Amino acid sequence: MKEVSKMAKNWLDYIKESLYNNSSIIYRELKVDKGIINIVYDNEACDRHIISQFIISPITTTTKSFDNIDTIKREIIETSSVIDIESKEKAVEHILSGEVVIIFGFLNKAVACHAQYFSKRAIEVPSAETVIKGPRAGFNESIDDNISAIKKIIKDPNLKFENIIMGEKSKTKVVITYINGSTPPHLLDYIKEKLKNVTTDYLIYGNYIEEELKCKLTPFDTIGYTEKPDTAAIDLAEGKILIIVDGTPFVISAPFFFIENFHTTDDYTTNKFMSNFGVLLRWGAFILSTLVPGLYVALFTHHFNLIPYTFIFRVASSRAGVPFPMIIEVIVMIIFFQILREAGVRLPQPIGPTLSIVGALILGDAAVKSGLTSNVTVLIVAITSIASFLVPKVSQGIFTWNFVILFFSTLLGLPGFYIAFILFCSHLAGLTSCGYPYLYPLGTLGNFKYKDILLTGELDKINQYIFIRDDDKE
Amino acid sequence: MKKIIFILILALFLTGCFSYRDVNRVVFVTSLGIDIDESNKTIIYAEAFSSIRGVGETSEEEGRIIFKGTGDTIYEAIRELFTSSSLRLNFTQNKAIIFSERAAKYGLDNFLDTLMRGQEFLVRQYLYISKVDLEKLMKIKLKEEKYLGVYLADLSENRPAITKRPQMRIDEFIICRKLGSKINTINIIEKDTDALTERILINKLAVFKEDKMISELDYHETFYYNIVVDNLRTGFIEVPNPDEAGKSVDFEVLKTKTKTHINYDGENIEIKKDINMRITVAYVQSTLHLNDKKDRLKLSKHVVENITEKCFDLYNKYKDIEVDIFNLKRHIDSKYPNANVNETLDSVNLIIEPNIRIEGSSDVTDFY
Repeated sequence: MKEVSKMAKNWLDYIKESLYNNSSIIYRELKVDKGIINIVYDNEACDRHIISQFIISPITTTTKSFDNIDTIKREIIETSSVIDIESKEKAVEHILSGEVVIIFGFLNKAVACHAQYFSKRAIEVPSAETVIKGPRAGFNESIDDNISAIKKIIKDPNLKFENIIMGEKSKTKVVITYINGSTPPHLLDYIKEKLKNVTTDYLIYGNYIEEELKCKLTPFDTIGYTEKPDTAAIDLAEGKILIIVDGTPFVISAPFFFIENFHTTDDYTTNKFMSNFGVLLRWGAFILSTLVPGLYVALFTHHFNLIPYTFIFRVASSRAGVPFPMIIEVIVMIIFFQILREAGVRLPQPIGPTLSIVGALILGDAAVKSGLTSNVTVLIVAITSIASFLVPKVSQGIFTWNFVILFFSTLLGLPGFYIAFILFCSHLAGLTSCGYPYLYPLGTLGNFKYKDILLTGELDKINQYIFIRDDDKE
Repeated sequence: MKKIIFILILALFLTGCFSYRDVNRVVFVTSLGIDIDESNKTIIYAEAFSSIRGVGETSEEEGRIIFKGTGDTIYEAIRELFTSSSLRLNFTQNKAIIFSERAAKYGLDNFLDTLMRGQEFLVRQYLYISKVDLEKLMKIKLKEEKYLGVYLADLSENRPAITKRPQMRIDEFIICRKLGSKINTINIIEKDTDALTERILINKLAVFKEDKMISELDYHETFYYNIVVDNLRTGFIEVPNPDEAGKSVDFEVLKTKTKTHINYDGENIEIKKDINMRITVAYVQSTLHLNDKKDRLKLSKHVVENITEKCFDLYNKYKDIEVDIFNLKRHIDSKYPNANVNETLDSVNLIIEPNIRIEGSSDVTDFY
């Protein structure tokens, strides 16, 4: 009777102690000519079919001898990958990652075999980045699926995937993706350096990394993200770096520029003239939604002489029964609208239309009739909010700056409005994304070779790296 | 940082500071009437728009309010207006400053200082002289428009409403009153006695010399005056029908441009008014033959004679009373500031040269 070796016993004791009260861990013993083989795996994280067909079955049926670990790895175990395990601590990590740990006590060796199987969502159409004409596939929570989706589009040998494990306890797999040669080396160093600062125990969302990379104290996103493999591939082609986090159905792209908020996939797949019109419309909507509330308050509280009499009389009579100053009225309505928006986002989809009707009634009619606000203010806030939905990625920035501009406009009228506008522009101009100016290409065109400055560029010229490389400068 | 945030939040509620004023907390004056009484005290009338709180479901209501104030000066009178209003009077939407004929003859310089000093008066406000009693004018109920000031602004700005219109804005008047012979003209408001409903009309000009109204131009004089001073937009000229005696032909003025050329030889000044006018046949009594160039030249000649004669009549009429009606001195001053020209313009030789072009009727035009 062959006993379990001392090494195997030691390892098994450690594993059992570490994974105490973990009912899904399976401990299996197999007897071979040289002794006992111990197999440990997580039943919930592994594919049992792979284990029985490619690990257990070959071990029990082989006629080959078990006297050399290399022979076992090469000739007996049939899983896609087999790697040596150096320590018992590593063995626990492998088990939790969904791999099968095989301890050959009689050889004092242990190996980990790939047999991962986690339940995952199928590839679906992303909800936040809908397209009219263009690829529909979106990322899901599986990092392997996401990587394969990118590889399916770009088959360049220079496309690199660098694995790192983040999160002291979650051991989340994070992959840095870039095209070697297109990405500036210092950008890669910068991002790797920044990722070292993420010291969380549990890296659950990709946003933990985003937070580390983006500018602080700004409502604008200086780091991009996408839910679509095709958009991610374009980012790679431009020389950007993608960060893929396991369990996050979007990938992070860096650097990210302000101007990119105004482009969508459809700009490159639909009629160029119409898509350019859409881009201009988005710019117009952004300017409108940012500035209109401030301008409205500035004009209607300080500069009556700049408004045509027909309009000012209309507004004055519309506001006759409103007990609050105009600034309070506008702020109340903006907050009302934000409450409505938040409720719309959180509510289950079937209730959405009901909420819209109630919201429209409350904001549009009841608020006016109850004397809480005037028709024109409802109109202004509605236009502002609807316009901000044309550029959803900057809607948070618009919302924040609306208040700043409103504040200055209320105190100082148009001069205050101009001051706030200049502050707004300087705030944007002061932001950087991974060391690059966020507001590019304004004033920094020479540093980039970007083709989509305002309107969509020539399709054969875009999707090229945008950073000027050192050799280009010569 | 906390202190700064606290101050910022606090400041948000200090809505009374600086010049913040809610639009429904002011009364917008739409027209201002200025009159004097027998003892030359100023009487001010202000027609105003005020938003009124509704009591029903709707909060939207408005009202037309007439204020009246008197005082030794216009400033005192305006101050008195404020005492009778629960909300502050705001003059930024004022469209008309109407002087009574009596106040105009007394002299606009007695009132202008306050109007110049108050910044709210200086934007887009037109001057008028009323031949109607100001109190009655302010109480007038017009069918088209509730507010007199707005009605007058529309009447002055809309081409169909009036064919001859030099508009005098207050900012323009403040400059022009000091230029050349200091002769200016301002629209006269009259009551339309022939109208079936209450109506007012503008088709005359009041002539001002050194801010005092000295006379008025009638309907026809206004037309020719406007041609010479290059202020005419549209109108019509009536000439005898060359084909039938006793009948007439009306020409619609499509466009007119008058250029002034001045030549000074050290002693005499020659001022030439080149009137380039495009006209078209608007109405013919009986028939008219326009077969060849000769016919057109003949008609043009009639028009030229008509314009030249009427313009000189007007010029000489005022020259006789030592009034430089076309303010020729203004042109001379700008080109020859050192030229010695007296008020009677003895050394000035005025030449009026109309250049008339009769257009065909292929252009679609509407006649007013």
